[in-house]
Amino acid sequence: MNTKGLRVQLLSDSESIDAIGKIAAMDSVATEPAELPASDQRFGIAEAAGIIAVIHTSAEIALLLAKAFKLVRGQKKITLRTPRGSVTIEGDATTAEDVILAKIKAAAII
Amino acid sequence: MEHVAFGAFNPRFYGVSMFLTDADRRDTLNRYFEHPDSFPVRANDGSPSLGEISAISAIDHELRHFHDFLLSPFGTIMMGLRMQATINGFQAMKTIQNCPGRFVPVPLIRWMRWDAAMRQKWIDTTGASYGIERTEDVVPIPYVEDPSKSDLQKGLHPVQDGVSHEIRFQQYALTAAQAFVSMDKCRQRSFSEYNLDVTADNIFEATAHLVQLQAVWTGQDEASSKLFFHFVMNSQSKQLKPLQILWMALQKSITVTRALELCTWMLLGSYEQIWSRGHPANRYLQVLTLAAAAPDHEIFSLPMPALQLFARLDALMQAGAWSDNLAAAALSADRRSSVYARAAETLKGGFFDTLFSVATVWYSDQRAVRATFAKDPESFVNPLRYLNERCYPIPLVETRFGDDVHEREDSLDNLNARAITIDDQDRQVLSYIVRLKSDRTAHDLDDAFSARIVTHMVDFLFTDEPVTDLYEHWCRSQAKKLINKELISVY
Repeated sequence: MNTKGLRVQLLSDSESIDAIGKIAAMDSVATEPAELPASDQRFGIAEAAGIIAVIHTSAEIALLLAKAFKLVRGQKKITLRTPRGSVTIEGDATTAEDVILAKIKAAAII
Repeated sequence: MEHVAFGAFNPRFYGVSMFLTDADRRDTLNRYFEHPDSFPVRANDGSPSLGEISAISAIDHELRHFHDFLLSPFGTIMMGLRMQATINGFQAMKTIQNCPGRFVPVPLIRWMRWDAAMRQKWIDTTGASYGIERTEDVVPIPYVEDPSKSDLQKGLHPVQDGVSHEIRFQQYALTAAQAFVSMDKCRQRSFSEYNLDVTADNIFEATAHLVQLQAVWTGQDEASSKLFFHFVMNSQSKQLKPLQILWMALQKSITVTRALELCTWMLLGSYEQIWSRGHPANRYLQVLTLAAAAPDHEIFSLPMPALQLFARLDALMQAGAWSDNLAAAALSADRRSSVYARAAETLKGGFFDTLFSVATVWYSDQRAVRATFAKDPESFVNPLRYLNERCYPIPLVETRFGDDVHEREDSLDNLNARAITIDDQDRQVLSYIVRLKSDRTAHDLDDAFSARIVTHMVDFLFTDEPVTDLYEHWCRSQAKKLINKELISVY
C-alpha cells in the first residue's frame, strides 16, 4: 500500500464514530470529519455519522475497529468504505481483530 | 422508540417504498396480511406494540407523501428536478465511455466540487494505490464549487451537434449535478423563528403522521392510536418538532382534522415564491406566529369547511389564493409535459422510453389529484374520508430489504410484481416492485421497474452513497457495464 495512506470512510451511528475518533487520536491515525449527504438509503440507521480515516494497512483499520467496538455499548455495525466498495462489520467488545481483518480481506476492497 | 423509517417517498422511484429491513417487520406484515383480524397484537402485559402498530400503518403514511407530492407546487418542482437529474445523468453515463480517462470518480458531484489541489491530494494519498497516477487518468470534469449555480439551461439540456464527447459528457453531467444539488437545497432550505428550524420535509412529515394516526385509530384501535399519538408528540426526531410545537400552541382547540387542514394549506404556497413566502416551512411559521399570538382565533377553533378555512388563511397571511397557486403549478406541469413529449421524439428506445412513460403517468396523476382536491378538498383534509374513500391514485409499491436480500427458490413470475435481482439466476432480490390496484397496468409496472434501474445507477454515479454492501456492489457492477470504465469511490 501507498506509504502516504489511504483515505477511507467509516459510517455508523454517532456513538461508534465518536469511539473511532478517540481511538484514532490515541493511535495517531489521521482523521477528518466526513460530509454525509442526506440519503434515504440508510435503512435502519436513525442518525448516521461518518469519519474519514487515513490508513496504511488492512491490519491497521482492523485494529482500530476492534478497539472501537470495545468502547461502545452492545452490538454495532460499522461500514468501511474504500474506493473499491464497502464492507459492513458487525461486532461488539468481544470481536477479535483477526476476525475483522478476515472480513476486510474477504471483501477485497483494499 | 428510535425513529427508524418504515418507508420512504422519494421520486427516484415513482411510487412509495417500504423498508422491510429486519425479520420482525417482515414477520409482522406477513401475519397481518394472513390474519388481519388478529391485530393489534398485545404484548404479555396487554399493551400494544408500537413497532407493530407502525409497521402496519406505514403504507398509509407513505401514500400521503405521494399524494402531497402530486398536489403541492413544491412537489411539481421536485419532479422537474428529478427528471432533469435522471435524463441528463443517464445521457452523461452513455457518453462517458467515449471520454478520455480510465477511471470515473463517484460520487461525481463530490469530485466536481474538489479543486485541483484537493484532487491531487486524493491522487497522491489514495488514487496512487489503485493505479491513478495523474488527473488525466480520471475522466475530465471541471471544478465547480456549486453546481446549482450553473448557467446551463435547466431541464433537458440541449447539447449542440458536433461537440466532442468530452464536452458533451461535461454538459450533461453538470446539468444533472445542477438538478441533484438543487433538490438537496430545496429539501434543506430552512426558515427559523422561535429557536426552531423548519424545513419542507417537516411539513410533509406532519401531514403523513396525522394521516397515519387516523389510520391506526380506524384500522387498529383506540389504545393503539393513543400509543402512536404519544410517540408522535414525544419523539426526539427533529422531523416531528414543528408538529409538536404547533400542537402544543393550540392544545386547547386543535383536532387531528384541523391540524391536517392547516398543514395542507402550508403545502399550497405560491409556485413563484417557493423560496420565500410560498415555501411550506415559511407558511408553517406564519401559522405558528398566529397560533402563538392568538391561540383562540376562530381559524383554529371554529368549525368551518376546508374551502373557507383556506380562503381565510390566504387573507390573514396576505398570500395569493391557494387555487391560483395550484393552477400555476399545473401550468408548469403542462409545460414540462410538452418538453418531455418533444424530447421523447429524439431520445428513443430502451431506458429513455421508460423514463418518459413514467413522466406521462406522473403528469396524469398530478392532474387527477389536483382536480379531485379542487372539487372536494375535504376528501383530502378530512383524514377519515381520505382513508375510507381512497379517491386518489394508488401508486406502485417498492419493497426493500435493507442489509439483506430476499433469497428466492425460483425467479419471480408474477403479473403484479417485478424483482430487482443482483444475481444471474434472478433469485437474490434487492427489491420488489408491486402493483396493488388495477389502475396501474402491467406496462406501467414494467416502465417503473426499468426507470428504477436507471435511477439506481444514475444516483449512485452522481450523488448517492448507499450503505448496504450488496446494493453498492450491484450499483457499481450495473453502472460499469454501461460506462465501460473503472468506478472509484472518492472520500
